[in-house]
Amino acid sequence: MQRYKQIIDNWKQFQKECKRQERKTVRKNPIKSSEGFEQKLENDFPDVEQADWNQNIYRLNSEKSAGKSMLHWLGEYYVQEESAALPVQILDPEPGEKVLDMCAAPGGKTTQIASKMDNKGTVIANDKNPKRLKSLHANIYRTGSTAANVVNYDGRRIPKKVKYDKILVDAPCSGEGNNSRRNFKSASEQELRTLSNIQQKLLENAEKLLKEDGRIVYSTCTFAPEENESVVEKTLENTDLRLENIESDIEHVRGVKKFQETEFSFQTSKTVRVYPHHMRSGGIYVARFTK
Amino acid sequence: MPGSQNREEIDTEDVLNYINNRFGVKVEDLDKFNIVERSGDFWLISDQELPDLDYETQGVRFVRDTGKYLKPTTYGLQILDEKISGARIQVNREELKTVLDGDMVEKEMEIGEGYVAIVYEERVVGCGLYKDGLLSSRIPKGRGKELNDMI
Repeated sequence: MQRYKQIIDNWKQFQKECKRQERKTVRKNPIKSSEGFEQKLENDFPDVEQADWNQNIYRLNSEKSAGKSMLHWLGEYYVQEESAALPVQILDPEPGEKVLDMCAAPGGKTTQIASKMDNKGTVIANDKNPKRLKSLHANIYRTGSTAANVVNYDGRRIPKKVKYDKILVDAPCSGEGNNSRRNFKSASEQELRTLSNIQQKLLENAEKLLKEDGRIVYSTCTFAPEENESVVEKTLENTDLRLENIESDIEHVRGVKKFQETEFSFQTSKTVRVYPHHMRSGGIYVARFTK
Repeated sequence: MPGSQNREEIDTEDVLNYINNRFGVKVEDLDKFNIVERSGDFWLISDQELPDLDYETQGVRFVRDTGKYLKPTTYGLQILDEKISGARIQVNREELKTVLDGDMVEKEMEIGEGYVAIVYEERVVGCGLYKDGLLSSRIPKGRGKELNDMI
C-alpha cells in the first residue's frame, strides 16, 4: 500500500483502519421488510445505528454475524459494506426504468437497484461467470427482487438490442480496498494492466447500450489510479460520454489529479474516492457519466 | 389434490386461479406482478416488456408444475406473505424444527389436502404439504437447514 502514500489524505489513519476489522453494516430491503423492522433489528443487534447519508443502511456495532438472523433469512436486509452502497445511491435508479447491472454477482447492488426502484421496472443482472450465478439467483430470490432478471454474457459483448436508462459498471477489479479479498495488499503491474483493459472495454460497451441522456456509474473497490482515473480518462477520450460531478454527503476525497508520473487531463475532482478510514468500510472509487 | 391439472392445459390463468382458490390471495394483490411461463415453471416478474435477451432466470420462481400438481415455491409464498389468507398453518419453534428435520407434525386443521404456507412468528417462512392431518416441509433443504440452525 506504500505506493499510495502520496494520494491518501490521512496516511496514519488509513494504515490504522486497514488493520482494524470493518464495521458490519446491513441494508434494509423495503421489498421484504415488515412493520417494526427497526425494533426487530435492535432486538438482534442492540447497538445498531442508522446511517445519516442513506436511511436504509444500519451500522451494527456488534461482533454477532449479520448473516445468521431470521431477518436476513427472510430477506428483510442484505449484508453489505457501507461504502458498497454508494454506487447505486449515485446511479439513483427510479421505478419503471430499464437498468443494466453489468457485473452483477453476487447481487448486492442488483438487489439494491430493485429496492430503490420499488421493484417496479426492469433490472437486467448480468454476470460473465456462470459459477457466480448461483449466489446471484439466491440473493434475488431471498430479497424478493422480482424486477431482477439474470443473463450470462461477457459484459463487453452484451447484445445491443435495447438501450438502458441507467447502467452500473461495478467492474471486476484488483479489490485493493476490500480487506476480505486481499487484506489491503497492492496488485501487481500485470494484474493492473489486464484489469484496466477489461474495465475500459466494459465502459465502451456500456456507452453503446445507453440511451441518450442516460446515466452510467462506474465503480471499483480499489485504490489503483490505473483502474480508476486512468480508465475514466480513456473512456472520455474514446466515447461520447461526459463526466458528471458527484455530490455526496459521506466523507470522501476527490479523484487524484496526478499519480507517480501520470497527470490526468480531465476534471478528476468530479469523481469520488472513499478510503477505509472515512467510514470504517472498504475503499471505493465512483465516477458518473452521461451521454 | 388441489392444483392437480393436466400439464398441457396449464397457463398463467390456472396459476392465478390456484393461488386465489388455495391461498385466498386476491387477484388484485398480484396486479403489480406479471406471471410468465418458462421451462414449465411460472415466474413472478415486475415488467412484462423484457428486452430480447437469453435469460437464465426472470424474476422469482413462483409456482412449479410438477407434471401432476401445481406447487408454490417457498420464495413465492414469502413474497405474498400476509396476502395469503387460506391454507396457512401456524407452527411453533418445536414444530418448525421437526418439519425442517424432515419429520411430520400432526395438525388438526380445516384445510384440504395440498400445499400450504408455513407460518412462524407471524411470517410466512415457506411451503409445506398437508396430507392426512400431517404437515411436512417443502422448504428447500439448504434453506431449511439455515433456518433450523438459527431458530
